[in-house]
Amino acid sequence: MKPVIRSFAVACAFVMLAGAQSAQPDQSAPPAKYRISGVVVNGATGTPLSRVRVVMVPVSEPSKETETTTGADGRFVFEGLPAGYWGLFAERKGFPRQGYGERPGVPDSLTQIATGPGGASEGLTFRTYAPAIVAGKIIDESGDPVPAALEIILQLETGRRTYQMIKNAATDVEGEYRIWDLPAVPCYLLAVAAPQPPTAPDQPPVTFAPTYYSNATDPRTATQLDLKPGEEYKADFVLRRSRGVSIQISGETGSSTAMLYAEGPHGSEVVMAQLGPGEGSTFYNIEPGRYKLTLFDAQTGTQSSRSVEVGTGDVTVQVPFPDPPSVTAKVRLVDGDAKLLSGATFFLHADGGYQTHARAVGPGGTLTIPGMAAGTYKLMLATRGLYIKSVTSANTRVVDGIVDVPETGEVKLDIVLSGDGGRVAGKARADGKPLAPARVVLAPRVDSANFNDYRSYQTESDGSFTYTAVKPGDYILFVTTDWRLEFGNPAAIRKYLATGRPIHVEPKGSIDLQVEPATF
Amino acid sequence: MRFALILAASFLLLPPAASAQPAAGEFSLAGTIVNRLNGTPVRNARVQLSTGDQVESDAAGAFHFSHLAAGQYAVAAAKAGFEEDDGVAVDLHASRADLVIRLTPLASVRGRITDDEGEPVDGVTVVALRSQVADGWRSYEPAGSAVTDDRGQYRIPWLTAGRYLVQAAGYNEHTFAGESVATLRSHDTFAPVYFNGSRDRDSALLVPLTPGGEAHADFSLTLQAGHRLTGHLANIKPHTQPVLQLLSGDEDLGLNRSSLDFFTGDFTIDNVADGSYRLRVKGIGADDQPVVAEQEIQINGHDVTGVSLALGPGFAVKGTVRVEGPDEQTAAESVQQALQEPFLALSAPEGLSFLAEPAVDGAFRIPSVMPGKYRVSFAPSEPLYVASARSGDIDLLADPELVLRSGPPPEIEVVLRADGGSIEGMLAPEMTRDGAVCVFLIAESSRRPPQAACTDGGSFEIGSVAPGSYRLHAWKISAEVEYNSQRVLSKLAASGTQVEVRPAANTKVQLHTLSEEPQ
Repeated sequence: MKPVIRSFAVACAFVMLAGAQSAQPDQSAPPAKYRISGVVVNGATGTPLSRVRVVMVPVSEPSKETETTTGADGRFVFEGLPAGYWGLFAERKGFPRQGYGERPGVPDSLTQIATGPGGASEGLTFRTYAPAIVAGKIIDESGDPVPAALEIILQLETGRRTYQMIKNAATDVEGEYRIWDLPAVPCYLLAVAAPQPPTAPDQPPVTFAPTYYSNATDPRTATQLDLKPGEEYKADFVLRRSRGVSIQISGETGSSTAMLYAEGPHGSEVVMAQLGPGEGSTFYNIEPGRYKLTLFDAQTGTQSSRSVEVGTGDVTVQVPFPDPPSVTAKVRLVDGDAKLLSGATFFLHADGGYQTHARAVGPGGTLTIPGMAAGTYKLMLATRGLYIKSVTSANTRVVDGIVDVPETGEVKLDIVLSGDGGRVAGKARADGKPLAPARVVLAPRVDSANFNDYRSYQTESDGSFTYTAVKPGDYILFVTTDWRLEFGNPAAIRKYLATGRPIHVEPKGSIDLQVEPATF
Repeated sequence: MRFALILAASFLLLPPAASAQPAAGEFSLAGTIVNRLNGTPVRNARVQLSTGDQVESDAAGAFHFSHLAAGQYAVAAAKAGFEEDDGVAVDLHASRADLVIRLTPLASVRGRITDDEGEPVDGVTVVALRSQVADGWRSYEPAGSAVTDDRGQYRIPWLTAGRYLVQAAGYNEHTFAGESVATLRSHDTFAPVYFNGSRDRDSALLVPLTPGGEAHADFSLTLQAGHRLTGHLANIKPHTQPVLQLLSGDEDLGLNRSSLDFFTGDFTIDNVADGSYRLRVKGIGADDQPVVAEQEIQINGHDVTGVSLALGPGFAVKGTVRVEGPDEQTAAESVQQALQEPFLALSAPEGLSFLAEPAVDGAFRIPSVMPGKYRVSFAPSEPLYVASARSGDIDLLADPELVLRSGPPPEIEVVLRADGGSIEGMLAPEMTRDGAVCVFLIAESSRRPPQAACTDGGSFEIGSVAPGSYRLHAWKISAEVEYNSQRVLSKLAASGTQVEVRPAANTKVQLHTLSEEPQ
């Protein structure tokens, strides 16, 4: 009855990057008292929502939150506030906690409320969205319930469209499942049944083919569900008993959990099977294909992996995997306050996967991540005031901010950070009014394959946006309210680049400007 | 491959194969697996023979083993959703096809949780606690749990028949899948509540579950704003491994939103409803001795900050023991020897226990006891019995439950005597026909723990009995009698077979029937 997948490492890096957005209150304003007011509505229907707990958090002092509850008309008001910026969150039964301006499935989408002269804090429409619900039953061909784990692969808008296994759920003893916390984005479902005890002692366990909705074993023929907020979807599975080849693990895995990954829809990484410590040493019923077998040691937090090619015969994999790869980086800072270097934090996010390694730069400017699974990782910096000037390696491929981690050996990186970035700030307006929430995109004028070169800022309620630590160079700035836009994909933003505002960022320069959305 | 198959077989609920039987033979053994309640066939059940042979029942519940030699076989069946079955013994001399194995379906609890306006509440953890009696004490074992869905519905499946407490125990954060738990601290919460609205176990309703039955337990919860509790814990050492507990009464509420910084000692507990609590921190001190800190907390509509605790050693429980009676008795070698043995135990329901051995001067000391709820039990060696035991105003014979809070209890004073009587009894032969029987000696007027003797023959003996009037009861050894409950004891003291025990005298008694099991 165990779900096949028990733990995600860090689900997504972007949630931790949330603090990277910054806004400064307008200090020039005289002390005055302001209000934040508005109405909370169901974003899908526009109906005002009663009994919503609205929580207000001062950006400058997050521990000092206050709250109110909406009445029958959905209205809320906070009074007597100084000038500043405020986070606004809504929570109601049936509506998971959401921030003002947040779009479910669009990471890091928050709009702060600006109070003060020129602020826009009254008459707000706070759209909050109910989750989508997927429910169904998993049975075998004879109609008996099959205990299975469901993996949910969601489409995420992180600049470039990605698909990521973001959640798993388990059926109950009747084979039924119900998931009611899904953001309204396209998704795929994969059902993986744990091996059942064999029907006779000399037989292998009863196994079922991992199956995508609706009853597809190939991710390329899986059906995408385009979830809408508050809607309920029925997704039943009939699993067929199947008997592929086995992968036999030879040797001691110790306290490690063995995970078998395969490629799911659109390059996502899905878990096909898992063996915890003491759960045996055989992966049964594996279809031909290419897999990654990862050993994860919960005690040390380290991993090692091998690529496994499965053909028509059983496969034996020798463990442990010697010399697991590690990443060692020498980090240097040019043109900046040396204090910023110590504590600078990097994320290495597995491309297509859901694992993120976070590490802070240690004394002497070194950073080490021991024991990783092989793969390609996106390197991101999560420290204000600095940008990545260059990443090079003497012994592995580093292209466009993506690091190849091989199956063995030490990956040596040389990272140069710079503190000479410029500042680009301004206000987005439309029809003479602040435009919020909207997405302001800063794209390099010359197409870049490096995702780090494309940046997005969700405007605050007064339309303001601020980029700091912008790598000097030539850019195009544009504003859009198309939340599904792949702003990090040059091909997808071609028309915006043609009509956007060209700017040139000098080292330590500062640019203030007003932008309006382009009309096409 | 071999290795893997052995491991795979460990999934099975079936007993391991017994002695090897001849594999080849001329007989066959067939039958059906049925649901004990309604007689319907059970398909895809695993049927295992003591030889290790195993088949699966078909859609009609039928199974078939062939090529069996004559002999003794055990046949067991297992299927998810049914109670584990011991199987049936078959003496095979000819082929037979009429074997019926009945499986008992498991029970479940389901229900719906709504708030005071009738809206469903999702994310509520509901726990089923199975009521059981062991050593005369009632206890509740978590047997299953479930979380309500967006419709407020939950279902706890696969419970063995019995009596259960059903508790709405906790409330979880709700964010969109894949998003981090929000850093905001405001959240609705509720105090854990049992099915009939009771907040404590003793007045909660026990829900009976019959085999295959499904009980409905709906809750209406009043959600209220949760508050934050912050403070500082002093004296954390690298080896301390402190654990925070928030108690309401003596019940640990379980903290799912708390954090404690092992370096600074700063802690935060979120989502605490209004009420009176005791904050307790337990840890490990130097030399593996327990360390503890406790503080009363009141939450009343606001956050509470600046709570300050310091970990310190547990406290010593001290006491004295003396033997009363004529000099020749107290000085007897057997008495002096008995005094060397442990005679008092403090045991916590979670399994921790401390034993007391008297020193030469009659003083005893249990060092470093942690706060908690303990049961005090006495087991002086023959010929001693406990004449009285007190801790301050508490008569520990009558009220053996001792709640230790932030300090030691008043000194425990135990008086032993060596002039006890004894009872020799005979049971009517039919009483032990179905197996062993336990005889309990219940004091009529004075409140003291019962003494017991179990036998599968016809005679029993109970020694070192305080003189007085008693009642004798006998039950099967499997009977679950809550004989340490005051309510049950007072019933027992008014029924059963009367017997008078005089100092240093033997009383003979004859029992004719088993007692009714008190509810």
